[in-house]
Amino acid sequence: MDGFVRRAHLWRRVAWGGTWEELNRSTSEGALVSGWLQSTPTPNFPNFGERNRQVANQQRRQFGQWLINQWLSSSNPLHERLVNFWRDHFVVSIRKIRFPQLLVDYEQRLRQYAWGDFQELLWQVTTSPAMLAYLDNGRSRVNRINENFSRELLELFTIGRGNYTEKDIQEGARALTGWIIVPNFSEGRPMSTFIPRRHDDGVKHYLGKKGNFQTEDVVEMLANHPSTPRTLATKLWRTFVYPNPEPEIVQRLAKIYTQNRRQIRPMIEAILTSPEFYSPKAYRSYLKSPLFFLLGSLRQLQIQPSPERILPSLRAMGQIPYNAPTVKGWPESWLSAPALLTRLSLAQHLTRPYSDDLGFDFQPGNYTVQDITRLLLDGNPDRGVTGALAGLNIREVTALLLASPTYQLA
Amino acid sequence: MYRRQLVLLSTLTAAATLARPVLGRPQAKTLVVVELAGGNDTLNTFVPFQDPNYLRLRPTLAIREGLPLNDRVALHPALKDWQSLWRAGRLAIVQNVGYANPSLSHFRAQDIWQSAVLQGATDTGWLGRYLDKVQAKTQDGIFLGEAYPLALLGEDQRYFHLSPSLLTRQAGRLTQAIQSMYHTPQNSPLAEEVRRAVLESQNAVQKLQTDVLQRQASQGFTRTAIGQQFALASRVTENQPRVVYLTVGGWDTHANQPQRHQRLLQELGQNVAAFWQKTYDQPVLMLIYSEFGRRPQQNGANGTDHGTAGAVVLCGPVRGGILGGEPALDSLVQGNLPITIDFRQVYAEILRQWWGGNAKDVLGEEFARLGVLA
Repeated sequence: MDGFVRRAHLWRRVAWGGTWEELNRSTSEGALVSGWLQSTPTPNFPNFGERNRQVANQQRRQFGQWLINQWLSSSNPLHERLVNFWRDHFVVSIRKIRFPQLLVDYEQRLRQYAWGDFQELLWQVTTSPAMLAYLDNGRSRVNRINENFSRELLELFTIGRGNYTEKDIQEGARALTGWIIVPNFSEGRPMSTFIPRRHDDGVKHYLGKKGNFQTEDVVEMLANHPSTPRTLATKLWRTFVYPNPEPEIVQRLAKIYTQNRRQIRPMIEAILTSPEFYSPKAYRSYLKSPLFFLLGSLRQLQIQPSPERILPSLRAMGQIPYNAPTVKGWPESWLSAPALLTRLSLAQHLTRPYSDDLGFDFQPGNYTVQDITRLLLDGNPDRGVTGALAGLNIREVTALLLASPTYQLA
Repeated sequence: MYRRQLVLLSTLTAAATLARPVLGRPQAKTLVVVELAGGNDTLNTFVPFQDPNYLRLRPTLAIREGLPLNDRVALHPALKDWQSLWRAGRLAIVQNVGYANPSLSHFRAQDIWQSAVLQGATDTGWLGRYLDKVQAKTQDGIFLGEAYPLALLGEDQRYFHLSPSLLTRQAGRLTQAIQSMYHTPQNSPLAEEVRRAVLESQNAVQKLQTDVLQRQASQGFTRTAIGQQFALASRVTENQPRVVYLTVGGWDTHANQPQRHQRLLQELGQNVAAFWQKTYDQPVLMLIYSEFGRRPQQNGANGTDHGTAGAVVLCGPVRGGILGGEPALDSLVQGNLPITIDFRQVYAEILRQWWGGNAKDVLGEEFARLGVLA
């Protein structure tokens, strides 16, 4: 890939798309990446006070807006991207949790531990009020074991199918007992705590080992199990580079995890500085999710979004944050009619002149057709785009490019 | 790569198949599910007008001018179009339906009804699991609405999703330009997949749209978005899918219930009746449900709050009548109606008697025969 295309590709993979200014900056890709890797931003988190059913609906919307603002205005897009990766990996859903206070707490944990020691992140997620509520471990107690969390912990969050037995799920669930969400949120901050009498303190046989295991032990065993870095490596590669990483690549990345005491940061660095990252195989190699498409468009065009317009559009395309249909997360493929066709009409809505009922404020300023083509399509318009441009004004040209087949690709 | 291509292929095939009329296919039986999202107040839909508790609990909200179905139950007057269905024995009402320890949360209750799993977070829906078991194709399950429901999520499969809002046509030079761009083959294979998926979907949608508009007028659907949704349901039912699922919103009547509920029921009533104006080639059964009923005692805003038991309606080849006893307004549990019939019993009947399938495989346990299907 040549210079400009490399930069556009990097910003697309890291931030869902770079702005005109970002794409024309002279900072090298390497310097950008090191800069991002060195800082962990701490945003201001909303405080929703004590749980209150009357205002929960409104607060959920406010939380959604806050989240969208983070994506669009983060000072460290790489960190933001990684936090989103963890959000999609350690799935919890507002549909079951209901109170955004738990999600604020969850966000704090994901953000603080996103690229440190995976064992610490796994511990934070496991003991979070949000996860205790979502997968029921907060209700699991000795003599009334709930296996839900133990199952998904093994199947989806760490070692994956084929590496454990049904018995491991049951024994793991026993080891994980004892946690509850503290009933009263002091100052609107949810907390979890361990209650020894709720814990099953017998001997467990888990993943080939035997002992009086507690949650700490389960987390430690899974974080250090050889299959865990393979799961993470595969998913991270898919997110940042291309689908279906080769076994050698998974192995290479898994080794970095093990050699760096489970730190995620070195894995990210390795991925973004690998020769494969800028290879033709990585370029525009998968379909953007609805969030990627919408937020990327807003970001690249520096459109001030009206929050009431964003959530309905995401709903129409089937992807509202923290609303994944199941603990497996978002579907693998977004090729359905509503997910795709809605993008085409969104492309037109995003670029129309602002009016009260439309709520997107795109300012074309001095952009020429060539500028927009560079910004959105890396200067490589699709076949058929050039012919279709005739007679369109700059807003319509922008809409056309946002709607183009290539723009749908990451 | 292979999974993604399989999904693309099945989406394209589904879209193409839906747009074509169906001729002489062997008969699949279709279930049309209408979810009334928000919690329909079935106590005011099927009114226990002889019960003195009813008037006591609902001094201003009680329906006094209902249309009697028998000497104990009257229909809300806005559902007058359902009287002919009732008289023809094609309407069955199952009262007091719910499940143990019911949730009063919309989201949780919807997930429970759609997954048929009472505890824990679930990955699949009861219909998705059934369709998986019979190895249904993408177009055998059709969802008409905005947010694809858990009910139709299979183990690995999503079925066909068509949002009625996509049926509004856009015109103008920009739309033309986008069309012309999409009619040009792309260089990259992935961009080409996107192009084809969009074109096929658009094609299917446009063909359906013409059909639907005509039908909306001729079959008597209301000239509203919901009317269009039901007209679309009627159209896609002709393709003989196993499941058609629609979600109709707005039923959460916490305040000003009389006018709102009246409008909702009027629109539902007319559109359901219009749906049955057509004679379908294959057997069709309709199930209408909500995630819960509403509290018997009216609230301070001339409305009702979330409740527990509610009535479920079945239309088509049913044993017409009312099952499940009467709402036990004299023995409320914490102000709410006790449940008599587990909703999964209704599902089991559909799985066994309607589709000839295995209820235990889909629901995890067996349920006694309800006797609501003919």
